[in-house]
Amino acid sequence: MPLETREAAAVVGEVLAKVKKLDRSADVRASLWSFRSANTRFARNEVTTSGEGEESELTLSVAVGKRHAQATSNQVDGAGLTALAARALALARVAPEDPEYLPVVGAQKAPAPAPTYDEATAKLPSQARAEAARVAVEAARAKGLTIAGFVSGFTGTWALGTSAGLALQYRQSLLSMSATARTSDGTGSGWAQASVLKARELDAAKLAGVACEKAALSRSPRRLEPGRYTVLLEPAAAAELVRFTHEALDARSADEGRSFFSKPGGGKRLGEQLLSERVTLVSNPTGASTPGATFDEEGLPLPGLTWVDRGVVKAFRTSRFWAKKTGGTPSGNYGGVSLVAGSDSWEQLLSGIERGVLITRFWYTNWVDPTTLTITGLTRDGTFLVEQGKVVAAVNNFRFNESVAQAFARCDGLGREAPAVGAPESRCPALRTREFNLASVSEAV
Amino acid sequence: MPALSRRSLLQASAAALAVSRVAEGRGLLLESLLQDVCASALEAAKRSGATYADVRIHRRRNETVSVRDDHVEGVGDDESYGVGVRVLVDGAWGFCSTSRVQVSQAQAAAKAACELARANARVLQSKVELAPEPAHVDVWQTPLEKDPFKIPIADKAELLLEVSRALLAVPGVSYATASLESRLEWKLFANSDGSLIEQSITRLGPGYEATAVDEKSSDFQTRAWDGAGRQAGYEWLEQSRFLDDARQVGEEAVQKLKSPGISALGNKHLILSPTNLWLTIHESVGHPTELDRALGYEANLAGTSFATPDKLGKLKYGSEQVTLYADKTTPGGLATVGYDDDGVRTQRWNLVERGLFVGYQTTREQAGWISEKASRGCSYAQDHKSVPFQRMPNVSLQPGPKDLGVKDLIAATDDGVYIVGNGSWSIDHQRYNFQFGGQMFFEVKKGKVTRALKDVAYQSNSLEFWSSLDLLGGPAEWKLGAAFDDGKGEPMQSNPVSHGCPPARFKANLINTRSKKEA
Repeated sequence: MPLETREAAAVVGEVLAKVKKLDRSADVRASLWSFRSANTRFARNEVTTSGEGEESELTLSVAVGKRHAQATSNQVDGAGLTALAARALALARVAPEDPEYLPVVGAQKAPAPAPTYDEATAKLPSQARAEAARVAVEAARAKGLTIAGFVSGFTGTWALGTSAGLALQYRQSLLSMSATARTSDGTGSGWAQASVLKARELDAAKLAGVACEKAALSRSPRRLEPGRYTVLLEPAAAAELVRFTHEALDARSADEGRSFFSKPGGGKRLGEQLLSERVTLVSNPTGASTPGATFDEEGLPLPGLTWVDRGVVKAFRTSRFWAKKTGGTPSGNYGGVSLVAGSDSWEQLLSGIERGVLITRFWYTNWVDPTTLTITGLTRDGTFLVEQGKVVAAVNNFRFNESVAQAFARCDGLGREAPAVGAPESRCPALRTREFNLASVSEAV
Repeated sequence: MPALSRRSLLQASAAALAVSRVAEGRGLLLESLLQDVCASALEAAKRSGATYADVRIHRRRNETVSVRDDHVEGVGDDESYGVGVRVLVDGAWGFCSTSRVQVSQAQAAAKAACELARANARVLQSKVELAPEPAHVDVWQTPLEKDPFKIPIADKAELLLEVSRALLAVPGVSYATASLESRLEWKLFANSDGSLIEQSITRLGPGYEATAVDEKSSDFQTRAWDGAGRQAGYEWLEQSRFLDDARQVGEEAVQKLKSPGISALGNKHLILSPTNLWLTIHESVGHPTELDRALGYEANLAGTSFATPDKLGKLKYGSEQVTLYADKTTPGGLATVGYDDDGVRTQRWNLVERGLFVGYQTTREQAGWISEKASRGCSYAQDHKSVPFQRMPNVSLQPGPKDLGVKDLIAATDDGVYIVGNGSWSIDHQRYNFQFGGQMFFEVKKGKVTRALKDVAYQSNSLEFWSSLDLLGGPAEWKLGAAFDDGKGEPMQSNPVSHGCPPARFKANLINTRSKKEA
């Protein structure tokens, strides 16, 4: 099993002391993840590979004056720590000076975290993962489908410390599962995913059932021409818009004129109403529904932050250096970001569509034009035609080219439930938006 | 299952040293701890019921130096070390790893892997069968003169700062970044068939980018260097155009900012530089010809493939001029090694031959799935804690017989666009519909480049694209491009891979990436 928080903190303390012993003037930060990861893959209705392992990842950041460097190792016994301390210090001494370097963060009190550790999940036996795979395979076989998927467990301890007195710890356990069911004729595909902090909350049969139902419903898709459509994005698809928007909300890029959020003539578009009033983007690791670490890798507290409030840009991701240079406040580096749920039921979201497309998820999304926040990507695993508020047929997949800012600006419906997408820290509801550019047909199923 | 005794390991080591060109200071096979770790893990696996086992002691080291404008932003040196044990029990795979390279830990990992395999065997339709492979005892390493890890950090930083200064010296360039990554992979592989293989692989990943900003219009453009990562020593970087190209890259960032967006859209001729085409090869040929993907083993994340086994030897993949080959022996290729992580000796073979789909990438487990007698040697694991599976070899486009270059292709084109470098990229999960951008775009009219353009991407279908190839460059302009971190699998693993090609001419749908109407 991974180290207990007390043990991990002791290792961090030991390596900090080793560096200080070599050079009393050194400014040092140590970050140790001690974790156990385990996974089981299945495909073609059988288990394919699985793996388990315990690991440590110790990152040591050392500065001597304005010269700094970082070294990482997975060898955390006494000799390993000695070697890492010497290596990081030697690197820092030969690194050229960095005028942007800021001293390590001193003692901080991180906000109280929501529970993120569950003993039963941390100690989940390999048979439980194999059993989840078996349940999914049985569900698919019963419907004459083929299923592939991934069951992944993680339990870890994170300890962070600095030579300026910071000492913080965090523990997390996690179980994730995803599955893709396909019809035997290759014309239908469905997908479902879940990430839970407590293993007992994972319902493999239900998850596989959703994937199987989508596969069956999406069989033999009808041809639908490319064009601009009203689309209803299920949470996994809508979360992609959130991810790209959050990535673009970088203060330095905006101030330097190389961002969608740059203001013509200089500065950034803080306080401007750029998205629909329905759109509020937040990070809140202290919340019970979005639990996560309440400090970042530098040790800054993460009490929660609203990035976009009812369509108005309220905050940018701001590094310590950039905050100091511009007289702002560092934002802290949040691991998750959520789109706050709206008030629409699933039926209401559908009923607002005269003719549109229901999209399960996106694939291979990538930036196309950062000046307009335009991204591209493809639909997959369940794309359906909606007419007069009803799902009437499965349709082919599409490539889309769309500005996420425009998609959010034209948002006219948000689901009232926001499930976790990808990780428990990020939640997203279904989202309806108009004139979404489904640019070309993809033959992929 | 012959477990390796200490004596046999020593003999093997001696044999390896005798038959291979071993660099000074290498030959760690003689380290007794490692011999014991390998032998004891294989023995423990055998005792726990394994019918096959392999053990891989794997060290990775990544050193990075990065520069932002006028200063060094970061110096990093990441290292991981450990041992992974993979077993077959009751026809099912099990894998377990540990970062503690000790006899007791390796034995425990072997036992745990066997327990995992037993759990998996209960959800198995057919038992894993490995294609035969002779036992190899050998040492292989990247040919190099200068170990990049022995080049002082200060020298690397100064080179990057020099590049950055050259970029920023261009009027109109507002920002510059430059970086260099040096990677070492050292592996000792032993399996229950009697193989014992030591490999040391050194890779370099240099890059830089200039940004030009027009604050008045809130517009900006970036231009990244077109060079690629390479399996090589530091001497390769010294001899490359890394620094020499900087001024032109800066000038082109400014030129792009001032250029008009493309307006002549639709199905047009494209002349693709090797610096752009390599990535299209990667996505539209490299991934579709992975056998595990084609059969549904990656369906949950990466997807499947249009190139299914029933189409082998029948599918028209491209025009007659198109021959695409896989090659794990290409000099300088990032995926080049002596042996794969199944212990299979590497090779070259065709995937597409004169337009016809003829081959797949396989591992020992997969060869039998398409009735082939031996593996193509495409097994790879990114580090000690990752399970090996099928990963892409270097996949390249064979040059044409005529000595044609970019100038000839442009001269032969009445109306089209010449694209250099990589921009945005995306392809669907069965590898039909793709869309690629670039770094620089040049309008071609009546055999001449008339002006630079911006906001360009080309969109096509893999088979239509390769069937449209009608002019193929010759060997003189054949060049390697590379992806340092190609992702695949769950959990996601990174694989370094190169793709060689000459310039070539195609037809595809050109779009303006800023125009809502046409995009």
